[in-house]
Parts: sequence; structure tokens; C-alpha cells
Amino acid sequence: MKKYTKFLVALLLAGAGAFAGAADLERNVALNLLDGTADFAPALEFAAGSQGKTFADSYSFTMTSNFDADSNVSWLSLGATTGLHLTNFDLYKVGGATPVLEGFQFPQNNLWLFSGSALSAGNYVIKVGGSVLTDQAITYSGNVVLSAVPEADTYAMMLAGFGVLGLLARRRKLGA
Amino acid sequence: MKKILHLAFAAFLGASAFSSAHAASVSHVTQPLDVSKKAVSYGASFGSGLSGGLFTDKFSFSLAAGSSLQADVSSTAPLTRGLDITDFRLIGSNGQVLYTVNQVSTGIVDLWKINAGALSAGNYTLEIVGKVNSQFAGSYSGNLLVQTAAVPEADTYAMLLAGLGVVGVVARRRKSA
Repeated sequence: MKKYTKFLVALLLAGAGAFAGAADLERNVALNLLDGTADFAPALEFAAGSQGKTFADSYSFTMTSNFDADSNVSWLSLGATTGLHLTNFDLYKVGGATPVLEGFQFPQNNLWLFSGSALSAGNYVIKVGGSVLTDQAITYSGNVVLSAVPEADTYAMMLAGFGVLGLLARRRKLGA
Repeated sequence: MKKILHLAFAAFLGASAFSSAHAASVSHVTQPLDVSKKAVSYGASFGSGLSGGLFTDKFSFSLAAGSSLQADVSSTAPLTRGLDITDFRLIGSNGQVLYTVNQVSTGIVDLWKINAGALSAGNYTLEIVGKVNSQFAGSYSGNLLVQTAAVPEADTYAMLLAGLGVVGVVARRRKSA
């Protein structure tokens, strides 16, 4: 029996270890992009009584060409608190350990943003993490613009086009 | 050659007429918001190629009891690729503007906020007015929090009356004793 108890305790400890660092509320959502833009929010708001809970939400998307990224999240203060306490708002490439773009708080506002240019094509995820400070219902929302930047070969094609135009003009001039 | 020039010119005129016709209104249809849980997010996206387009988007909701509310709306990079929000207001059921605010910030991010107190039960609309500033797609997002005013319920009054009754009975018994 004692052995059993020991085993159980070990199992419990292992379980706790595995879950350490996991947030109370986690949501993984694929962004519904329209021409590279989307607004996003936790599918369910933080219900009244979520005070003290931590959250870690992921919003994923795929870009097939190089792009610029601009995004922000905002929320509202409630009562004596700022409602939510945000600890991170970052852009990660899937599989990457460190963020590609790190968000920062817009001074004196319940708003964080990140901005970056010439990011490479691939799978990405926007991560929003923090904790709930208020005992009343609250939520946050965000918006993102992912604009494709012309690839190097697009510029090359434009240059080639100019070249052909120049040649034609030259031939016409000579012919006249 | 002249013909080609003419054609090109006509095509250019056609294109510009098309784009100016396009610039009129790009508003979304009115979206209902469910405020029964006291907190709700909302937002909308505009596809690419709507540069210069103007919009007045409406989000309607109804308050079951006297309430106060807070709302915000934001858009990233309003000058280069996002949306330029030019007004954010709360409209009553009779169409009158109840609250409007100046923007909190502009530049790298456009942020507007409304704080409205002492609203009676009824139907309301949040309006977001703005302009698409570039050929890129853009979106805005916002939050709405509703707090019901602390009005005593009928049963609270009933309890008060019951309490007074008990006090009265006790006083009467003491007097007669």
C-alpha cells in the first residue's frame, strides 16, 4: 500500500511538472485573413470571477511571400484595476523559440503593438499572454495587417520591362 | 500611334472614374452585439484595393436595465496601411448622438474611447466612422464593457419591509410586557 501511495505521489508530481507554466486559459485560433488583414479576440471573454487566472492565446496564420506586419491589442480598464495585465504580445515563427517581433505597451494605454518589415514567408503565430485583474467580465481584441512586399524577382521583371521599352524607343528613333 | 494614345487615355479615364466611384462607401452592414455577458469584442476588416473608401460601421445592442458602459476601438498603422478612424460615437434609439469623444492617440496607432454613464434600458448603436487610407487591406477592433447600475431589486425592498416588521413586533412585545 505504501508503495502505491509513493507511486501516486510521484505521478502527481510528474503531472504538476508537466503542467507548470501552462496558463489557466489557453486558446489556439487560426486567423481568418481577408487580403492579409483580420481582427481577432478570445472566442470567449473572461467571465466574471476569472480574477487571478492566467491566459495564453495563439492566433496562427501562413504567409506565402515576404511581408510587413503591424498589429495591436487593446482592452478596457475596469473599476480600480486596469482589467487585464498583459505580459506578452509577440509574433513567433512556428518552431522558433524567440519572437520574430516583440510587442510593447503604447505609453499610458491599455494597448500593445508590434510592427516589422520584410519578414520571410512561412507559418507564424501571434501570442497574447497575461492575467485577469478584475472580478468582472472582461475581454480584449486586436487587429493585424500583413502586407506582402514585392519579391526581388518582381523588381527584376520591372527593370527588364524598362529595358525593352528603352530598346524599342531607340530602334524607332534610329528608323525614323 | 495616335490611336493607341487615345485608347490609353480612354482606359486611364475609365480606370480613374471606376476608382472614384469605388471610393464612395465601403461600410459593413449593422452587426448585433450580445452584451448579456457584460463583455464583448467586435471588429471588421476591409479587403485590399479600397483606398479612399469611407465607412460608417454600426454595432447595435440593447441594455436590459440601467447601465454604464465603456468602449474602445483601435487600428494599427492608420497612416501607412491601416484605417484612419475619424469618429467614434454612441447613438440612442431615437438616432441622437449621446456620447462622442476625441481620439486618445493617432500616428502609429489610432485609439478612441467612450465612457458613458447613466444609460437607461433600451437600444443603442456604436458607430465607427473612418477612411481606408491605402491600397492595403486593413481592420479595426474594439471592446465593449457594460456595467449594470446598482438599483435595488424588488426582493431587496421586500426584505427591508420584513425587517422593519420584525422590529415593530419586537418593540410591541417589549412594551406590552
